[in-house]
This record gives sequence, C-alpha cells and structure tokens, in this order.
Amino acid sequence: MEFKLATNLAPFSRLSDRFVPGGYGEGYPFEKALELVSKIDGIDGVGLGWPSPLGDGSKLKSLLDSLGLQLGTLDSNIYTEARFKNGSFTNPAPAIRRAAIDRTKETIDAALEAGAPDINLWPGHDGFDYSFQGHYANAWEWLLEGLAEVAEYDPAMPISIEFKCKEPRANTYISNMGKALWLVERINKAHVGITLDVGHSLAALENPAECAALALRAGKLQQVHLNDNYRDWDHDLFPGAVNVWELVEFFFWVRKLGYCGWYSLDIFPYREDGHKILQTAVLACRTCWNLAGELLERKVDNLLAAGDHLEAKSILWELISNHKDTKALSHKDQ
Amino acid sequence: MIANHPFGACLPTFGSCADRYCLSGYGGGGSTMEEMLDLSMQVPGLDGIELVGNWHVNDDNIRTVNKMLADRGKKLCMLVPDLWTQAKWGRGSLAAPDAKTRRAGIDEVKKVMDWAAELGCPFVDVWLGQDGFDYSFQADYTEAYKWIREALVECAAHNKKTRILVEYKPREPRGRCFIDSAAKTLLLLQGLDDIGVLLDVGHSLQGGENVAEAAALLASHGKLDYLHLNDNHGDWDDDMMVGAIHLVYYLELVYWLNKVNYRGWLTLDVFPYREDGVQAAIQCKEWMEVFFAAVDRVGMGAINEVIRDADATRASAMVRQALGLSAIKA
Repeated sequence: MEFKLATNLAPFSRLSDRFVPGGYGEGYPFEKALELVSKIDGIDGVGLGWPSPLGDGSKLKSLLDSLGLQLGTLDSNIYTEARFKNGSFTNPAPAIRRAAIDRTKETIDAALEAGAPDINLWPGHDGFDYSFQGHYANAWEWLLEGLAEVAEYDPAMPISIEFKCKEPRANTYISNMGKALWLVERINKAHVGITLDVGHSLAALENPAECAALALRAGKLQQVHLNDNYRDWDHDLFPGAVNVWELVEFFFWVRKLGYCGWYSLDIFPYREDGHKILQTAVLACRTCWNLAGELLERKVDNLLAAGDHLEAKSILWELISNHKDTKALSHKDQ
Repeated sequence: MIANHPFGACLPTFGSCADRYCLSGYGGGGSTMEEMLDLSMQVPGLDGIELVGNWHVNDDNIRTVNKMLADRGKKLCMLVPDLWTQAKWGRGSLAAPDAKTRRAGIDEVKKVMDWAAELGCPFVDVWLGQDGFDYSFQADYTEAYKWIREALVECAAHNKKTRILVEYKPREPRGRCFIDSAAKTLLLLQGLDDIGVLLDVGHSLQGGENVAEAAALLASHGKLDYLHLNDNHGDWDDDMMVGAIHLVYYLELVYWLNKVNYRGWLTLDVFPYREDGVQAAIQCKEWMEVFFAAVDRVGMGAINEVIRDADATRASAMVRQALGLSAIKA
C-alpha cells in the first residue's frame, strides 16, 4: 500500500494570527514556495487553494508537472474574505450563498483542468458564536441545498467535505464526523465524501481512528489531513507532536480498511523553519505508518476482535522498544 | 461608571478585527485612532480607554494622544507594552531563549512605563502571550520563570509612578503559555509588592477557573488591581460579549468584587469580529449593571449567610431571585 503524502504551502508562507497580523516570518511567493516543497524528500504532492495566483487550472498543472509535484486536492476558498464572515453556504443573504456555490463550481472546473483528484470544501464560517444567533433549521436546509447543487454540477470531480468543531466561529455547524456522515449520506452521491482532518477530530474530542473506520465502512473517506494539537484547539502542530498512539492507531485502521487516497499535511508552523518541520513531519508520519504496518502483519486486528487488547499493547511496546523480552525485563525490575 | 467602578474599553473594540483566515479584517469600526475614539463616545458612561504602546502611543505623538483623550473626556486607564505583535517576539519576549530579545522586552516595558507616567496612566499591563511553548522538549521551564521574574523586578524599579500588572492567560498565541493561572501568577510575584495582577475574566474561564474564586484569591494577596471583561465558551479566549455564556459566574464574581471592596477599573476586552463594536460595548455595560443590581437585590448579608451555611440549594434559589427570575412560573 502506497503512502502518498502532500502538504499545504503554509510551511513556506507568511503566517499570521490575530496577535501578529504582519506575520511571523516573510514567506515566499507562490511559485518559489512550490519549488521549495518539491525539494522535500518524502513529499509527493501539494494541496492548493482556488482561486490560484496562476489564475488557470491548466497553467497550474504545467507548473506542478515541471516541478515533479502532484496536486493532492484543490480547496474551494470560501473563508478568507470578509464577505463570508456570516457564513458561506448557510449565509442568511442569498447573494452570499450564491457566491459560495459559484466559487465551488469554479473550483470544480479548475480542478478538472489541473488534474486534481478531488476538491476540498470547508465551510469554516458556517456556524454561530452566540445563543439565539443562528437559525439552525434554515442553515442545515441551505447546506443540503447548496451542496446538492454543487454535487450535481459535475460528478466527474469528487467533493470532499471537511468538518471542524470551532474557529473561526466559536461553534461550527459541521463540527464532527457524525454530523459530516449524516450530511453526505443525505446528499447520497457516490462522488461526495468526507475530509478527515486528524487535528479537527482530536479537537472535537473524537478518536480519529474510530472516525476513519466509521467513514470507511460507509465508503465516504475521501481525504485525510494530518496535524496534531492538545485537543483543545486546532493548533496545527506537526503530526505525532502530542498524540503519538492516536496517530499510529489511525494509520492502523485506514490501512486495514483499505483507504488509498492522499494524506495531506495541514500544519501551521508559525515559528519553525519550513524545510525542517516538513522533514520532521515526514519522519513522524512514515514511522507511525510503518509501525501500523507491522501491527497489521502481527495480526493485531485478530487480537482486537478477540477482545485481547492487552496482548495488542504488549506487541506495540515490543515493536518500539526493540527488546524481545520486555515483559521479562519489567518483571525483574519489580 | 458601572456601579461606582470606572468603566473602560480597549480601543480595538471600535476597530476592525482580523484572524488567521481573514487577514484583512472582518470590516466595520474605525480605521484611525481618532475614528475609533469618536466611536467610543457613543458608549454612555465610558470613562477610560486602554491603549497599546507603539500601536497608539509613541515618542512623536504622545502630546497629541493626551489631547485626543482629553478632548473627549476620556482617561487613559491602561497602557500595554506590545510584546507580541511583531515577528521578533515570536519565540518569546521576557522569556525568549535569546538574551538580546529578553533585553529588548525589558526596554519596551520601561519605555511604556515612562509614557504611561507622562500620560498620567497608573498602570502598564504585561501580557506575556508569546512566552510559552507549542511542543514538548521546546522550553527550559526553570530558566523561563527566572527570566520573567528578574525582568519584572528590574522593570518595577524603573519608574515608581506606574505599577506593573501581570495578565495571565492559559494559551494563545502559544499552544501553552508559562503564566497561565491566578495561582501561578501569585507564585511568580511572591514577595514583589510593587507588582500586581490583571484578571481577564475570559482567560480565567478558558483556564477552567471559577473566576470569582480567582478574584478572591488575588484579592486576598493584595493583587487584584484591574479587570478585563469578556466571555467565552469555557475552552478558548473567544473574547465575546459579557453575559454571552457565564451569567452565574459573573453574578458570583460581582458579589466577590463587592466583598473584597474592589474599586478599580472594569475594562472591556472583547473582539467583535462580526458585531458593531459600539453596540457590543453597550451590551456588556448593560449586563454588568444588571449583575451589580442583582447582587444588591438579594443583599450582601443574605448572600453571606448562604455561603456561611454552604447551602447549594438555597444558593440555587438565590441566583433565580437575584436575576429576577423567581416570579416566572411555567
């Protein structure tokens, strides 16, 4: 099974937050950032946003081809402009809902030209901050209507819907895997699936491995984003920075259930060197991926089926300790 | 005024707010300092404005700032050294691993203390937002605590006309900040009588504290100097309007402010990304007036008795009575 790893351009971009609007570093122009990504060993592709500075899907394809990079996904940008601040697909203003639908259709066209495997759709402003602020019934109706329209636009291009519990809104409508699955099941199109961002799942207090299994059983896991956090916010740290076992278990289940799409690093290294953090992320991901593969070879899934999770744990510790007799050692220490 | 407390607001309440997604800002509010100050005039009873060094005040404009405030009848309630918005503070200010950056942080605080003294402002707020860590094995904790304390001691001796207040916050912009709770701030400041604490209600709630207890703890150590008011969902510094979520917590906080005889500033620190800043400030003030009136309605004596008896069921009924909900029947 192939581990296809892509990244966003954040490691080589000027990154800001609400406290440092001028950015933590300089960043690079678009084409230079792509060139820098292409030089990272272990990164096969990039996830990019639409509209693109190149303004044309075929130009994007030529540039990526010349750099030896694949396009992991094209993301419909419905969140960096102030006009979407009260929502995109669920905005109370019909003109803004229309703008979100139009932007997404343009992204589908560009993705076809650029040879992207899918488009990513994250309705980040669709939610509420205060009680008595959102009209929940209308919002979900508009979501279903708007997504149905973009899903009918061109079934040749898969659409992947990304959930997140909060930020930039204090509460987001599509906040967890359960809601996302309900939504795509209601849309009921073979080419509409889910983006599982591991960090979003952790911040929503889910277990990403269980979420992956749930989505894969339904045939709806379209895309995976990798990053990490302290389960209280989407800190976008590199994978394995905090929740190492959760990452290994996640890879175990996506491998077992046969996910064969892209893995995209979605990290925001405000204070780190882009090159070094991508190397660190590649190492962390590939190590955990390989560990998951070894666990599969050792038939750990059979142990789980039999309810013997302690034996599974001992195999885990054995694999990482390089001691064949870990149990004997710990026994002697007592 | 709010119930005999001076009432202030951070100037950006009346500007356009940005975040990591919408870098150009969500729109609304004023763009220049004068426009924002003019908007602040629309909030009835607003006594003071909190400004940030270098954003709003510098060596060249300091007299103009004085006049801008005086012309509008506003006091400068707080001047904040900017130890976070520039990339040079990205890895920390007073606890940066780099000695030159730490020195620059100390110089920044001292400079702002002098500006504050010149402008007749009694406080500077040291908020160490960039001092913390994102990853394990990233920070030297013991050195960091030492550097912060030494820097604060040096700054406090610099200008006795301005009192340094330390504002704690559990996280953001760092994944974890060093000075993250009321108790840790007290520990940091043990034996340093010249330095006080700024209690930001939202930071306290984000850190899982009961903000009323935090206020009582700080006051019992003589360090409840200033309050920032806002609200959130309990897990992040959402900087929402007062009273959006934590009604009962606010009610108890106001009881304790009375109890410890707090007479200081009540200053708004809200981020109205999608709201009109003036209307948001007015709503915050209305809620604070209601909380003070609600405590008066029950009376300090009656609340004292319930707390003395540790009777949670009477406390429950008392909250309903305080908020004027007792008369509402299903």
